[in-house]
Amino acid sequence: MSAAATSLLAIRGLRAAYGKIEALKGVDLDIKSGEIVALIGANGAGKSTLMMSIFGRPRARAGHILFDGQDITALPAHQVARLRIAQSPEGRRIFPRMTVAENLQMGADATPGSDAERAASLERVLKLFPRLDERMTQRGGTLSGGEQQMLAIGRALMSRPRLLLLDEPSLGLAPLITRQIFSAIRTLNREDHLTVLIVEQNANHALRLAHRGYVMVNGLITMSGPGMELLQRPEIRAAYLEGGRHG
Amino acid sequence: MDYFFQQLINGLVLGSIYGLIAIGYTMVYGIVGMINFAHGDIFMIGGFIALITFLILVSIGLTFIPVILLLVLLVAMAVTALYGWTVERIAYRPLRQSFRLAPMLSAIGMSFVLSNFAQVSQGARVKPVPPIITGGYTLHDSGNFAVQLSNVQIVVVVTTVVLLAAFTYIVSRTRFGRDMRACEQDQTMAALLGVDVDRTISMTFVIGAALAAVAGMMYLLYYGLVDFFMGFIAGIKAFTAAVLGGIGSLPGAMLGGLAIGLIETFWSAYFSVEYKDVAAFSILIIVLIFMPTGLLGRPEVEKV
Repeated sequence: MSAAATSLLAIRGLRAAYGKIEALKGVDLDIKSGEIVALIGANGAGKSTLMMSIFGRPRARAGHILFDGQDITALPAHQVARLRIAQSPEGRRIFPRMTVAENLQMGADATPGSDAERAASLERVLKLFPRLDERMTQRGGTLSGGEQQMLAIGRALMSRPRLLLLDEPSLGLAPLITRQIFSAIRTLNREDHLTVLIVEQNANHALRLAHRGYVMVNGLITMSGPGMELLQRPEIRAAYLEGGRHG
Repeated sequence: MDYFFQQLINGLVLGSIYGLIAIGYTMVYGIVGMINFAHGDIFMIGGFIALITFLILVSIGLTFIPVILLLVLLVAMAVTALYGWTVERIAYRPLRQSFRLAPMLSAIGMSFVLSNFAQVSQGARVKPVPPIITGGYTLHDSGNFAVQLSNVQIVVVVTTVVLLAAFTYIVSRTRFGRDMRACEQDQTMAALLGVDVDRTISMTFVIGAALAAVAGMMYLLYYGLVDFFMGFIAGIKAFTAAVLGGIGSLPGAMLGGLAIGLIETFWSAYFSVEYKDVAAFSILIIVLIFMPTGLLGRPEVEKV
């Protein structure tokens, strides 16, 4: 039995490029249902590219992406989203001139759902991030960085995703807010069995949170294994925890 | 004072027509960042379709004016919307990934194509129609000057207000409106949230063209004529209105339209008809010097 058959998301030999610059040089990655998987690596390693390539931006030049057994390599972005893959992308990308409520509504619109299901998702999101409840009628662009991050994750959750992709949720946030966000992710995974792929430069946090981790260097996966095990490896400590933490 | 009020009425009516066209410019600019120079000609096409539909309905024996007007409105909106959709599909979409000026040049080309198409198929002469809506009210008569409000003016203003209310509702309250605003703010993110960006852009052109068709029909009713060249100057005026109001802003387009209509009318009434366009464009220049983003425009730089 190949791993691809049992994985919720299976990436095989994925290559993608921006013009002539090859950003992914043959990536293999698996995420099983109910798992939190961390993808760590330095700036420019190709982590965000990998996440966006799941939505075909950039489109894969070779290789395959399978979601729940279905080949989604060539699917347009909006159809991938309708399969209930949600992303809180790099830079958060909330809609600055929409209210918080409208931003969340955009997430809910991504997938079909009854009014009751939508109300339940909204309640869940506002319980996880009570700050958003106080800001519902405010425009997205007026929120603080931490609130914007909560909104980006909340918006992704509104589509009741089967797979949640988080790109650097801790970037630029105060340690307290980062802890809140990571604890929300842990809660979602434990209580709702949400499957999560998290990209982080903050390797320490991410690997502690994750069941398994992958390390990416120059468009290739160089190491993988259980999160805590990766944390113990001296080469990871040297590259991403001690010297490389801010570099 | 009576003379002033009369001009105010005239200016608001003209401004309504400009505003309806201006919305098409500003919507398209908002979502794809290009000036659709063919939009004035879409307005002209709308006027012709209204005229043709009117003649057909009369020739098959319809006589009840309100029904005729309603049918003309619906047919003109639908057929012109199809033109708008087609123009986007064949002239702009293939160039969307190209350099920034390419779709704009293509739009100028489309403008020539549409006006020449109308000239060849409908002839170059001005097409007059007898007044369809007649009568009106005298609001105030001071003996030497009477303030008139004609029924056609009422129809133009009421139609504009009703359509704008419907349009505002669509943009601010419906899912389609939300998708449109999402595409305007971040197309990639909209796609990640399941929005079919291509379809949303198509629909934007369709709505813009439908509103231009209404303006074309109102122009036909108000001035009683259409010709193949009328899209050019009306298009430039409406474009000016959109820029004056702040390109990308929907209330700005309407406000800009009213402003241009009023400036033109008052200038003609108190100074000289010959220089009315000069007055309108001069105001545009002055406003842009002091408010580069227009009256209701927003600065390009945003907190992200």
